[in-house]
Amino acid sequence: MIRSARRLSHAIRSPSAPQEESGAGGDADAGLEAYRPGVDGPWTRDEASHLARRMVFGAPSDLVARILSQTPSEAAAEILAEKPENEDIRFTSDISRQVAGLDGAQASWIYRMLRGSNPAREKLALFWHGHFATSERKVDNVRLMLRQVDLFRTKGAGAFEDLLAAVARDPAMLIWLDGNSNRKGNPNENFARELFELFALGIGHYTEVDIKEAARAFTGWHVKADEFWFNERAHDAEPKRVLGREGTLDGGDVIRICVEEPASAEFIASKLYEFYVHPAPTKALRTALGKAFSAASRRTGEFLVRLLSSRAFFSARTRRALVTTPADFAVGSLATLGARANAGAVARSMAAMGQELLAPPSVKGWEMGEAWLNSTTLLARYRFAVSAAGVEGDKAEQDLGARWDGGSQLTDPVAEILARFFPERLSPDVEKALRSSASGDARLLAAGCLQLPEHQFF
Amino acid sequence: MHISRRRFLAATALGLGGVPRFLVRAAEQVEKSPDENILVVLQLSGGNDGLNTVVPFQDPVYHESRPTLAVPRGAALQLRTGGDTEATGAGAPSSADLGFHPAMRALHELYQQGSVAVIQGVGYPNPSRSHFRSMDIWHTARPEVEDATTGWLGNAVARQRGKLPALDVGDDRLPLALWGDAHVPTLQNLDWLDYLSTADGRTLRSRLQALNDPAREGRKEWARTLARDTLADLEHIIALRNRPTPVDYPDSRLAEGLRWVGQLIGGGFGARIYYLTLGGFDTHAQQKDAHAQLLGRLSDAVAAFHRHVTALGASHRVTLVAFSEFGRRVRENGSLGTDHGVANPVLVVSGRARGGLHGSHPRLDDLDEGDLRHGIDFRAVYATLLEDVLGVPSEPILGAKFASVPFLSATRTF
Repeated sequence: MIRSARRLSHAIRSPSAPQEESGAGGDADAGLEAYRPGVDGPWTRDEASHLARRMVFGAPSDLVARILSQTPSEAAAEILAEKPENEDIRFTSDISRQVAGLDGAQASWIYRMLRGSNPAREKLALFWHGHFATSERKVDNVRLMLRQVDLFRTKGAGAFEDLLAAVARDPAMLIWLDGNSNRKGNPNENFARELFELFALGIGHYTEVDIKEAARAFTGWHVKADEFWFNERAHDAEPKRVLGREGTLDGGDVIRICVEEPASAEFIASKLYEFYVHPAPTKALRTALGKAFSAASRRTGEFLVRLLSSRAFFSARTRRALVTTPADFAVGSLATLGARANAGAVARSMAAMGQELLAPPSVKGWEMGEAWLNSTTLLARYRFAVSAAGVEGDKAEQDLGARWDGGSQLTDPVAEILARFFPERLSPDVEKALRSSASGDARLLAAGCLQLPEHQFF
Repeated sequence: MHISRRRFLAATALGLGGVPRFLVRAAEQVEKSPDENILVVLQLSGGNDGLNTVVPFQDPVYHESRPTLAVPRGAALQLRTGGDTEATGAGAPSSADLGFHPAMRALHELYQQGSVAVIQGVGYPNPSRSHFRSMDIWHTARPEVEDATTGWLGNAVARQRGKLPALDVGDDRLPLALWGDAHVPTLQNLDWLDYLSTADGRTLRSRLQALNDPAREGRKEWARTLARDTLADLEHIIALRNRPTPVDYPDSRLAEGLRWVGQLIGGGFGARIYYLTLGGFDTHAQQKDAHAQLLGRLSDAVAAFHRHVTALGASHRVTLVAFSEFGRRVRENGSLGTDHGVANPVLVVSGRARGGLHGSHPRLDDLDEGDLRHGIDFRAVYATLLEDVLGVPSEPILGAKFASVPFLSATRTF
């Protein structure tokens, strides 16, 4: 199989929009200290919704209420803590492993995002899926793809080194980056290159020689009968030199050497920051983030809890600073509304918005930010909004299998929906335009909330 | 920080990417001339069985290799025409021995009128039998580059900097052929667009307009601008969609897509490249009826489209080309189907086509490990399309000079 895994952005490529000027402080004040409600700023539905939207999908009202009864760090820690999965989820996950094609596998993941006990773990798994971007289109084995996602669930919040070591032995990854053709005397550099460039270090922190040498260390890391297999005969046990370290290094050694580089902590911590907090950390902040990641023993979960309860996280400049991804738009909007929908249909809608789960466009993952938005994907978002809110009863059923009570349980549906989606308040003229376009109809209002330019940022 | 729309457009004009909207305005900026040529690419996904599309019905090897799948001698629609000029290779079937599959009656009619060019035995050296790899090769036109990330049409679009707008019509991801350093929009969810053109849809559109009335700042203003541009384009597209179609189309997704293209062309939408896909050609088992149905759908839809553009007086400007990533093996398999093969015919339908056969049909008595040998490199076909239809130099895109194949009349007659 010679299908290229190195593929750049495509349908969703679009020019960069103006970035808001970042007003980050210097070295002295990276803002990573804990946010103190009442001292550093308020602790209202606005802050709680911000935390929810970034850590899980959308801002479900019960979660927002619970967050408000806690301190920021308690809330972040509890959201991320692993809770026992319910029977329902275990059942559908097992089924999807046995019978599902790609559609079913995508649906089973969406179902877990929407209805599972650990939406924050699912979001973190989605982060790692974009980071270690592997596509079913080459792997051609749905069970292996789902196993890789399980890896992100179980190891995604732990030590980065453990995750990386597991990914390097993951059968889907080995197929994706041509592990089986990496043999002594004839090394295939695909995995070693991406390990340095995309997975652990970032461009500029290694040489082409490092790649060649590292590739030798991974020779013989093969996949056989859908399992990792150390093919000793294909392994090159001769001495190598990687990133200045010499010895009869094997793949595990290279991974350890990689993650111990200061550049690695900065690279991973900054990528987490870009995904969870703000798209453009300053150089000084990147350094501080790397230090904080190291201080958390490079354990992603610990680092995230600190980051997501920090002053930097709750600062004004991070609010609505990220372009809403298709997952946040689709799954998040349903969660905020409290609506249900057919998971497979949600997966298809997300694909129309440019994010097809288990099939990222290249090993670089999805291009984030403004690239999500263009005429094609915007129309797909408008369609989803109409269906999710049930504006056209029949059409909603047909498109998404969406079921939402239209806020009929709420005393003031219009005010409550507005507060769920925009607790920070819309500007008066936008709110006026939204209210008058809905003319008191809760479903129209909900659809309008999703369609506003304001909701394309989260 | 606020970047004005103008500066934003200026930045994108530097080749950093196209405006991420439907292309109406870009197209309006193109100097319109009545002889602007349009390329419609139709991808037949899965590997179309070329031998049962252009059938060597006189060849005993054909019948011997395909005991259950061969098209009977009397059933094939003969491709012999009065003025055949094809250079037939020694031992290769000639037009008298070749015919379309019987399901292709509508295309056969166009063939007899001289509007269909059949380019025979098209392929490339060291062919891949992987769907992905072979499709990638057809899409990038760079078989020598394993990791090419841009397509032959995407590169042409980027090269012409806004003067060669393209539109993908389909629900799938954008084909690699259209990837490049410029945004190529997809007209997807055609049923959704149809909904938007109903009375309910009009109400929805006006609500969307209202939501985007108030000006914003910064990135929200960028998103609002994109929304307003999209809605304006949508008005235009729907207006074109609602124009009456002068011909009847059959009932199929492909026909629906081609009808859209015909309407957009009729309304002067301005795209120079349209891309559509018809899937289902990977006929490993029980091929007979399934393949006949696909060919019938293809033939009926393409013929209706040709009648449509002819009625618009545009048939000489519009060239439709249908290709597949590979053909099938000569010998049928044990499951009443065929496995992945190599060389295949490419079909061209246009008012300016030099109708008839081009190149020679691959010989069935001289196979390469059970597969047909190609005679014409697909990049030579692309060279003709790039230069004669799109007016783009082919060499920088194909990485080498390929002598073009004369399947289009050089001088256009109107």
